[in-house]
Amino acid sequence: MNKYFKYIYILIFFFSTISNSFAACQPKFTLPEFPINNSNNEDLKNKVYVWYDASLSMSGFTKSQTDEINLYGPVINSLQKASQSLGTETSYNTFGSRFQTIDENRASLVTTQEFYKCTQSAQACAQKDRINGISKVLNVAKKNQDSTVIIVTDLFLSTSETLAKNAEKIKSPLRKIFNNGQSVGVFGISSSFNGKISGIPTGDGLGYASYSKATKRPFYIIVIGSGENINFIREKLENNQKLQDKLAENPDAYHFSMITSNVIQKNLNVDKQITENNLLNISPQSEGYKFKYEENLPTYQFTTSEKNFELEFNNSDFQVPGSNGVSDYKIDVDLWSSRETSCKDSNKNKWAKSKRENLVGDEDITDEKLSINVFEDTRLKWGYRWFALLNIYTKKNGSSSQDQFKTWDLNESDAASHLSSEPKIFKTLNLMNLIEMVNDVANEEFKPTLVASIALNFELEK
Amino acid sequence: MIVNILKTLFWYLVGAAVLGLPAILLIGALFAPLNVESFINPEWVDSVFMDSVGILEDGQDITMATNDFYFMFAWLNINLLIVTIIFSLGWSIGSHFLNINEPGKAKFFGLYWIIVSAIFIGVLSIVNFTVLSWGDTFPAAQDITTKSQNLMILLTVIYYGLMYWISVILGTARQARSAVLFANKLPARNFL
Repeated sequence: MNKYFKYIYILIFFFSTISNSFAACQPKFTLPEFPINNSNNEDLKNKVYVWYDASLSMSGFTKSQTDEINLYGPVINSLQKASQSLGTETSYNTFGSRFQTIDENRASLVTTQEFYKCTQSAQACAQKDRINGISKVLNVAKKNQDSTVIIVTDLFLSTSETLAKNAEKIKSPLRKIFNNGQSVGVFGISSSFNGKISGIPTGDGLGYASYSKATKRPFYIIVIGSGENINFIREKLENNQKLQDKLAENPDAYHFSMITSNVIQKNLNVDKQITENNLLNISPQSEGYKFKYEENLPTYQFTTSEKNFELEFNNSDFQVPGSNGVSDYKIDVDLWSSRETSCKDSNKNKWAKSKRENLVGDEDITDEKLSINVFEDTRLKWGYRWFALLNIYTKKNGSSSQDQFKTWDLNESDAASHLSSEPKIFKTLNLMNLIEMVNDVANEEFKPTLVASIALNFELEK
Repeated sequence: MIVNILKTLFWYLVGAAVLGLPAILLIGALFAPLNVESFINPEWVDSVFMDSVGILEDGQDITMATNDFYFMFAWLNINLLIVTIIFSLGWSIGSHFLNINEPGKAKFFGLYWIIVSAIFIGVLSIVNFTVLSWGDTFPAAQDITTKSQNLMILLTVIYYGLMYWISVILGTARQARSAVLFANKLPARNFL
């Protein structure tokens, strides 16, 4: 029996030596706090608020138009189904001409003309039609931060709604929304239109005109909520057969952009998504190569004569899909050196913190990948053991996806000429003003987020 | 022949000892721990040879870097000393085998001496560059500035070149002295 215990002791000693040799061969350092990743737990479903723009001009989407395909009806049906699956409870409301909660029966009429009938005088209806009132909906979204808010609108904002105090009425709730980590998804769908567009500013600046010769016009679905929920809606909408058929014919009939203050969906360390494959130019088959996680920190240990290292990450592993992405990163590198290259006797390793700067070259950012080149022009000394702790933070959000909406944008100054050209496709007044406003607020509320932390522990040979 | 070689070997050793002994003393001092009182002042070495900025930039200790430098410089000197001994001893013994069978022929072998000496200087330089630049045995070579690296190469080549010359002057076979620069100017030629 004693003989067996002896073997067990020897084995325990052997394995503890191996693990210690890995752990001890590094300097003392403090890891940054890893952000908590949002879980996909179904139990976290919350209420969904659907807001329909009840302005009179929206009724044009409900009437059929010869030679044009109506997407409003099928897309709104898909949206209603998606909103049912998304939350525990769905609340329907209207804004624009009427700001009120409606029941399911009334909501089911949203794709019919009946829903948009204005019971007030024609003048009062036209007056109310000029004000979109989206700021009021954003205020509700601000107060229900665990919920998902879906807004269906033609986004026809008067210029006054995008200026000064009125702009602040839009920006203020957006600040809270982004601050809470929520995102804004903007879906634009070009659909057949057969109705009257009112509130178009005239060239002389003295009044507003209306237009009823348009056969096509974009409508918008704005979803405020978590990136995951926005993507859930996106998936459901994009699976709509009629929309797919239309897109096959004309890809410009649908645009999507997700704007968020934090495009990082998850930290790569928390779910241990960093693997041996992320370090490109060091082969896992090379001599002395080890890859191990220690308290969520992936550590690459190797011996090399390579003077620089290439790290690559798939954006889809950490970014909110469909979001505006990241245009710049901040990479902090803490570097230590030791004259003792062997890890066998940890007592000999006297680590010294290096004061070297500019250890990382310009990162290569594409839509799919983030590539980082470390120690490119650093000329680290060979014959040393080096330990580098890399913390990769976001520095600036991207904004490229908003540009796709530019083709549907109509400035106030161009409105009169656009009107006089009697277009078949009518653009959206002040569309880019709103989208840029949302993007600006997202950038204002941007906070650097830790994407990944990585340790490189290597003996540098000549 | 053997007697003649042994006779000149003594004088060769005398010549080699002039600069060889200080070199051996230097090597011994370089291998001694830094805390031992030595004629090589570490502070002077730091100020003249070491790349303090680069060492401190990596957070390394200057004293440890100096220690590694001493180790490297000691081995550099060992290698240079061995090379010097091989070449000078080789010439001293080899000079006895030169076919000098008529007066004035020794001067003809001056060309041989120049070639051997040039190869020797070349080997000294190669050893220097191998230790200080091309090789991967001594990381301490990175802790010295390029200027001090060049200075070290120049000084060691001069020092061991001198050692070679002095030992060769005294160690060359009597009949071949005309082949070695200034060797025929030696006093007491008959005694030597």
